[in-house]
Amino acid sequence: MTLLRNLSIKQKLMLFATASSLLASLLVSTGFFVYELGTFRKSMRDDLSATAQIIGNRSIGFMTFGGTEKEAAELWDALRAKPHITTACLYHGTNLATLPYFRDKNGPRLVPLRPAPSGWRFDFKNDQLEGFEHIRFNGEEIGAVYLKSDLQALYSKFYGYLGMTAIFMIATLAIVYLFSLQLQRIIASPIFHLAETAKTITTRRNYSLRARKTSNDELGQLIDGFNDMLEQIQRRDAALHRANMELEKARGELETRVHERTLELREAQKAIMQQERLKALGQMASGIAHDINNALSPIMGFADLIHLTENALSEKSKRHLRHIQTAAEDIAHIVSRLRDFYRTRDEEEKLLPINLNKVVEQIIEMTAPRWRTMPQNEGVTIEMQRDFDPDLPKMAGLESELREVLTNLVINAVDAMPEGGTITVRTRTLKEGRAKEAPTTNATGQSIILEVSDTGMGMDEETRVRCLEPFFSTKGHRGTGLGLSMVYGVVERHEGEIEIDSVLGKGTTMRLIFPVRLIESVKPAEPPANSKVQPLHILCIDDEPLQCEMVKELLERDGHRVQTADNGESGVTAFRTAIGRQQPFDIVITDLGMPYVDGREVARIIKQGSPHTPVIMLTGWGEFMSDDETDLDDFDEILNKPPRLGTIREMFRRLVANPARNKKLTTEQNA
Amino acid sequence: MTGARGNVFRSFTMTGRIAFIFLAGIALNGCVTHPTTAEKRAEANYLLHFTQFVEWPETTFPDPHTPLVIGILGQNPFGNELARMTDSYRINGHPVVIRHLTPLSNLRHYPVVFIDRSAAFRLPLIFYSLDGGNTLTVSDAPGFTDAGGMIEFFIEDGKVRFDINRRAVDNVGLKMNSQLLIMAKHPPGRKGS
Repeated sequence: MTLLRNLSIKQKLMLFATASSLLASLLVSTGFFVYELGTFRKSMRDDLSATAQIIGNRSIGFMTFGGTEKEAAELWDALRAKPHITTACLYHGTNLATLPYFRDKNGPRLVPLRPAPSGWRFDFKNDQLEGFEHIRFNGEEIGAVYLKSDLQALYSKFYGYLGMTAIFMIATLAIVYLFSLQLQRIIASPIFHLAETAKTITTRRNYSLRARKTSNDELGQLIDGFNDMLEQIQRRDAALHRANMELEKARGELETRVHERTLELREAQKAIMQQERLKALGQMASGIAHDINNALSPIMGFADLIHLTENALSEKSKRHLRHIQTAAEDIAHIVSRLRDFYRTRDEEEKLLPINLNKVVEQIIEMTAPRWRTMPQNEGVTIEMQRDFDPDLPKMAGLESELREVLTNLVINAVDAMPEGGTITVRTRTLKEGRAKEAPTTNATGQSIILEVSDTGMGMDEETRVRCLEPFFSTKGHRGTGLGLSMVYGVVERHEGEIEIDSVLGKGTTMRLIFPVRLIESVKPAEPPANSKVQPLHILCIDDEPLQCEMVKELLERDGHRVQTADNGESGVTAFRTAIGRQQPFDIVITDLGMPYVDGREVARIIKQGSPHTPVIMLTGWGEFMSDDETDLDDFDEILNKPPRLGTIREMFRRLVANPARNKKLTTEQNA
Repeated sequence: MTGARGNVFRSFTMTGRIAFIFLAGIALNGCVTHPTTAEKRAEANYLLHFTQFVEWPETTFPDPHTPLVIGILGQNPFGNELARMTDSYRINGHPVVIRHLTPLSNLRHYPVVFIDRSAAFRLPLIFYSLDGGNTLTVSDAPGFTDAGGMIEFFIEDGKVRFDINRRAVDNVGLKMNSQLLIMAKHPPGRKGS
């Protein structure tokens, strides 16, 4: 059966056709064969019976009248014409009437002694046909004839039939084979075509192919079904292909976006790291400035005092005093430069609308000696290109700081080009917000870009990352390392951003991006009158006695009445005592960092008792801490160390003049 | 009266006729011997069986019970043997009866007549009496068939044989079975008629 299953349809069809035809013809042949043999056997029997009857009839006279042996021999002569009869004998009554007849002279000579009773006919027995024919005459049985025949005739017939059947079968087989060869094409060809089509489709994946329909029978229906299926597969394949393409496209886009986002994140991370670094440096610088200012306060203060009070100093001493003052001022200057880096914008510093193009033009002109004259003297040419956006909106800023920034950038550009080159100053407007994600109030969404490019030596990566740090310089002893850190501080205070593009050997572009903010134009503040205010009753609290003493001396010089306390607790006690005596303090100045009860605590207690008494915080931290500290609401002013007399006078004037803030104070004074 | 016998006789030349009569006289007179019992018994048996091989005309058996009568002329050579044989013998259901006849009997009414050799000298008269009938004539007289008889017994090699004069049979309109005819032989030394 396995063998049958592995045959091709063509072979199967042919096999079935041939086998069934062969089987049919075999059955028919066998039927004929059996029938013919049966008929032949019967005719053989009948023939033998007839022969026996003839012999019997011819021997009636012989038996009745007792013929001679010669006559008997004549009787048997007739049998010579029937060679298949091997033995014959004649019975008269129940006795042998003559000598029996034997065809083969040397064969067995046996005959039955008596005839079988009448009714016995001829029968096939032991490869022979034998039997008796009883002889009747005038209604009486007078004897019998015994005949025995071999089956040569039957066998000849049998083999003849067999041979004929074999020839017939072979001929049938050949004809059926040829016929089925033709016939199978009708059934097998469409199947082959279908199988071939399916194979082609499988190997080429071409679903647009179709099987050819050649008939309307079941095969035709099968091919229709197959084609329908192909149609559906083709549609699905196309849809799948489209979906794959879209998916591939989306994947590509996604990859691009992931790549872009990764780059952005990396940049942002770098920026954040730099920001953090700069912030840490700011904290450090602030701490250093605080300590220096603390140390500097008494030096400058007492130097001022000596200068003001001691008239009997020798000229030499006065000169030394001036040296001390100058040196101290230099230190204060450096520290203030450092403050430009870390300090946050003072609320009092009003941002004003600035035409940046104009400021830039002024600075270019102002720095002309630096980028034109000086290099020319050394035989070097530096070209200055201006690329201004004429429609640049006004930006809100501090002009003085912006001037300083621009000056710094131009000088840096010049320093970067010892062999000469081109400086390009460019201003542009960015319509879409580019600045910090959460710009302060009044943001318009627009940005102003200020670029200063040079074609100089450029920066390596480390320099590019660190150039904004204070005291980082590539100029050796010529640079302070505070220029760009100041630029950073200013840009931060303007809520802007700095971008630095630099290629080593090609040049550097410093790009400052400022948000454009709506701002009311404010009249320039009145120049402060450097005059004294009315004498006030002041409490000064500081755990450093020297500091306290210096402040007391300064204020008493302006006619104020000053009481000091060397810690917070005693300061509060003094404040309460003064109120009890009906001589309250008009102003309290307190240091911030003190043991046990610090400046905040002092301010809180004073504001609880007397909300309208101004409290000034005296600190060496500057405004650095104001970012983090939220509980400085109780302070009205912050006075940085070292305190200068001018600053104090101005502050007092503000506090006394501000009726909203110092209503009570004023009222009390009037009373 | 130009019966079968007459015709046969006339076909002989004159010399032949003289010789016939002469030879017949010798034969009828010189060969009178007493047959053995076995031979006579066989002859009786044959005589009886001859009736089986003859197609009898319808006039022979007008009635189903009409017996077949065998007449014997001359001395009965069979003794009681023949009568004994006929006791149980039937020809197509008809019994067989034996009658002793004289030449003056109406011989034409008998279907079978046996003429013993002792009555052979009266043959011309006998044939005359039979003329016009269809009687089967049988005899053991030598030369009987030549004389115009139908069946003649003779002995050959110690066995009883018989000769048949087919012309005589045909002349009376009787029909004989071929089995009987093929068993007939001519007596030795004689040519068939």
